[in-house]
Amino acid sequence: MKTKTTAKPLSDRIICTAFLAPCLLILLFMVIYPFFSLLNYSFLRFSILRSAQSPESVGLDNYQFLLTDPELWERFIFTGQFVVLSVTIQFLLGITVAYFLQRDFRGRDFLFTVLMMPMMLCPIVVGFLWRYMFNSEWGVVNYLLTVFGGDKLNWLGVTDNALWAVVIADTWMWTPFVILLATAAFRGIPPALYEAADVDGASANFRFFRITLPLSAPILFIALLLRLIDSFKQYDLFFALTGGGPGSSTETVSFVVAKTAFSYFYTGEASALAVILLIIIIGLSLIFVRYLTALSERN
Amino acid sequence: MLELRNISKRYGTTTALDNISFEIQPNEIFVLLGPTGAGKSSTLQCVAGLESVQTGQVLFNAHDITDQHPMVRDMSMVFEGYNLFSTLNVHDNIAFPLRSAIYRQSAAEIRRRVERVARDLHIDHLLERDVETLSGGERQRVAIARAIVRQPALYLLDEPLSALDLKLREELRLELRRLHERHAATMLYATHDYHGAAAIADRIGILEHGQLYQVGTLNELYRDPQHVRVGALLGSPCMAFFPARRDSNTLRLGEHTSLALTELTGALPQALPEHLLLGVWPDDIELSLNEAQGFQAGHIYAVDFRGTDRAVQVQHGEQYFRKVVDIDFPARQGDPCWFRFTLSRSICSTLAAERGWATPRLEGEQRWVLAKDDSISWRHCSFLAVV
Amino acid sequence: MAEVKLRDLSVRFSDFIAVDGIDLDIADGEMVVFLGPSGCGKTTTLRCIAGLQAPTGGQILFNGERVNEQHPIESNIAMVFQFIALYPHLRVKDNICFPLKARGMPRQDIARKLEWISELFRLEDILNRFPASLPPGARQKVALARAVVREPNVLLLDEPLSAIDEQFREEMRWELGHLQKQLGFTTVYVTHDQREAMSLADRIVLMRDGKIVQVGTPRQMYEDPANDFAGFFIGSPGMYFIDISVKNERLLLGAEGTQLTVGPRLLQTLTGLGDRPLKLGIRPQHITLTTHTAGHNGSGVLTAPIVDRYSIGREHYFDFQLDDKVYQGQSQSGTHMSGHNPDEAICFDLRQLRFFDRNTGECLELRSEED
Repeated sequence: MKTKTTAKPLSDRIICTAFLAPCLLILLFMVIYPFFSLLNYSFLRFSILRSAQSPESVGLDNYQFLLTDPELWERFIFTGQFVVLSVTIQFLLGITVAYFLQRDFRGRDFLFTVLMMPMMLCPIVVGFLWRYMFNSEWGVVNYLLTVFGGDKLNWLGVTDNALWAVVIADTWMWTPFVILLATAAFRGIPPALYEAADVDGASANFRFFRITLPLSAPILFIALLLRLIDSFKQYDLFFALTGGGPGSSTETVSFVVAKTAFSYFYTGEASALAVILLIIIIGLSLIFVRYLTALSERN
Repeated sequence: MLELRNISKRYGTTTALDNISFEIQPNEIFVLLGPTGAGKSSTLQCVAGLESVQTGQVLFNAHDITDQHPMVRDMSMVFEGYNLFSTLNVHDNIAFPLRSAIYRQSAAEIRRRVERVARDLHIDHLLERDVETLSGGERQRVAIARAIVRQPALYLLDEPLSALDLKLREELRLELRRLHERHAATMLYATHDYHGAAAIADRIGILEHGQLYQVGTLNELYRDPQHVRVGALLGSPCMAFFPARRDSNTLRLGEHTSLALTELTGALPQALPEHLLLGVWPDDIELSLNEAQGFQAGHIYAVDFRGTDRAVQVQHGEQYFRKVVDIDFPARQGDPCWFRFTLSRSICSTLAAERGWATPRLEGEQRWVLAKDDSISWRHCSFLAVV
Repeated sequence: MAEVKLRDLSVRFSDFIAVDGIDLDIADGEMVVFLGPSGCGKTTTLRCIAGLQAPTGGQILFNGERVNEQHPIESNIAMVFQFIALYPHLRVKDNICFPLKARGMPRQDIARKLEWISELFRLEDILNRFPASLPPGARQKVALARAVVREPNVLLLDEPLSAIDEQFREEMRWELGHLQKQLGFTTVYVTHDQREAMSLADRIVLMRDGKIVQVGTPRQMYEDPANDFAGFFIGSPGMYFIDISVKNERLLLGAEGTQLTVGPRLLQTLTGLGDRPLKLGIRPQHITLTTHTAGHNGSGVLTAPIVDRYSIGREHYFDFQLDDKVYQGQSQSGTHMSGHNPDEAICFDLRQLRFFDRNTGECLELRSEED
């Protein structure tokens, strides 16, 4: 090189800004702009079908209408039932499987890979898959029930059964996620602690509940947060399995948002409902963030 | 050669370095001695330029280098965790600084220098090895080789030996001392190990809680320790401390026992505060297993065999001290014993106001020195020393 | 309380032998320290006793009962680890109570034990803290309290002080020595720090390459090393070794053959050994400096160039040179520190001289007492 660069390096601040800028720009256009646009719509009486018509500002009318609608409250209760059932089952199942996967046995890695597969499928595909399996006449689920001496069930035609059907499908698909994170959490615990516990005379149960679980709590809580938010937003499985029926009894809140926005094209109302959903999810996240901060302060 | 002027550094609300000033002479091994978290690493990083200084100046050969980039400060550093490049073999690790943009050398020169430094550190047979396959001692030798290959103006060594076995540590300490003599190198060495410091240092700075309490040769520090922490960090065993109370013209240990300080009785200055901390080097304590006039009672708390001699810990109420005794001294744990201070033959014993014990700061402290000649004269100093 | 016996204990990993046939009896209430450089098999031996590592050969006996295959839960042992294995999610008090709760001890008994141990270890002020908020020294103290609280048969300590600051390490060493004697547990302690070993041990077991080099009290080990490795490893700094030869009724040191004056009887004994290549071993503490060349009883006198004189605290040292190596000696008083004196001579304490076979390293059973 002929030219001599002066030995004046760029200041750290400039370098930091340069590296962050592209990411910040994407964030600005993909997240922040749409968010404010959504917020704006939620205060308007507006439909994208009639975008030529100038939207009319209605203040909090959309919110008031939604929050006083008893049908919507039912949807919230139904969504809550679904969230509690599926997340609880997934965690019990996932942590148990992860616990047994800690042991070293032949074919463990293969089994692990197979177990991870449902998670990698597209939700809509999973929905249709289970829809066929739950078919009351020729579905494999009812076939198995009759093999074991049970009666055929109308899985998707009765509200309570349909709820369980979706819970089962959701569990099949998302338990692997819990297994994955629980395994990662368990592996992160230093073996020395288990040795200490062994020497301290702890039984397997005592060890699991006093060491393994509390020490993997931070990661398990993140998994829980993600699962809660995800199942709260669950739409695809219901769409594919029940289509919201019978009637509209298995519609989740997200389902209502989609229907309001893209079947009825009440854009303003749908936006308001989306904002409400967002607030709930942010609230949930805040609880967890606070918990994680408390944890890290201890360390 | 290197001078630090009033360096202060804060991380959030905690003060890492509080107004540190010292100077290192050319060809000197200057040791910063202090416990973990004292601010030793922060000091070294400020000197190297890896951390910015909030107030104060770093001067190098009388040039202000406070804001200079670490690349251009002709220094090299050995880290506690070795920090070797695991993707390079031993030779390339050592050669690394010679291939950098600023200190680039020709290939032949690199080869010559790497081989010479590897020979010096007895790692010439390892040059082609992967650093992952080396033992701890070998890795540390490579790290030291990488630091000295460039022959910088100043070496910064941050606890370079503390991760090693005791025997290896002794060996490498000698090695460093020899390197120092051969290359006339100037070193700033941080350690928490008193033995290591004593074995290698030309001068020692006692650092704790971000404060530099005293700088001097080991003997100067022994003769005239200017702070409680200096006494506590020096020696094995270290200085013994006893809270004492001045009662008109006598000193009392604890609340009741009167102390046999004949030299001091009647000569205590009026300005001396009521509550004091008496610091005594263990050599100035006489220990007996038989009761005797003028001795204080205590008991043997534990015994420590050291090869050619023993050390004992004596418990006296809440207070204790440790002292080296003869190898055949028949003390066993739990035995009663008696002791007294023999200040008359002492080189140095110290008294400090109790505040110096409770808090690391000696703000606005009254200081005294007692020079023991015919006309007892008082000077201001942080401790009362009987010479 | 228990006595522990190791019988021909071996541990083989796929590619090397970690422990190679160890026999040892540890008495009830004894403090035994396994000492050796890293990789000598001392930690593996300890892990075998703990039941964390299955031996591939030999037996481990607690009070005469074979415990080889026993899970650590069954044998009442406690262990303190090098990398302080406190449970990070539990407060100090819950950490200490963990082994008691694990064994299902009644609540009142646990409270009583906690009170006893926290007073003994002076932990009252930190009982409600989390381990991460404590300095390493205090953490290890908690680990020790957790080990001691259930009064184990055998207490195992795996380099418990090596992760701690020098300053605090010394503090803990004293505390540990005091507590072990006071409580009287059978204790097995592993370390590479010979100062710790000497200070704490009733007996030291010195190991190298999976084998026991020597077993003895610290004083025996220091004064009568079995071979040159023991002489080097024990003591700080270790023993010096200087090749010797006997020629014309004279004991000559090093390649250049500097004479060390010794009595006729020792010379005779050495001559009697024939051509066997020898080296002498002496500790720096037994090399002194005197001014009068005559009348130093029991000392061998050597004339060699003194290259340096210095003091550390009230200890005075000098360096002298033999061939091209520098050795350190210790001067009793500071009077020789001023500078060169034509009269001065280097004295080797003949009672402390040891002779070793240069090939095998083994220490020879010959003394030079009366010379």
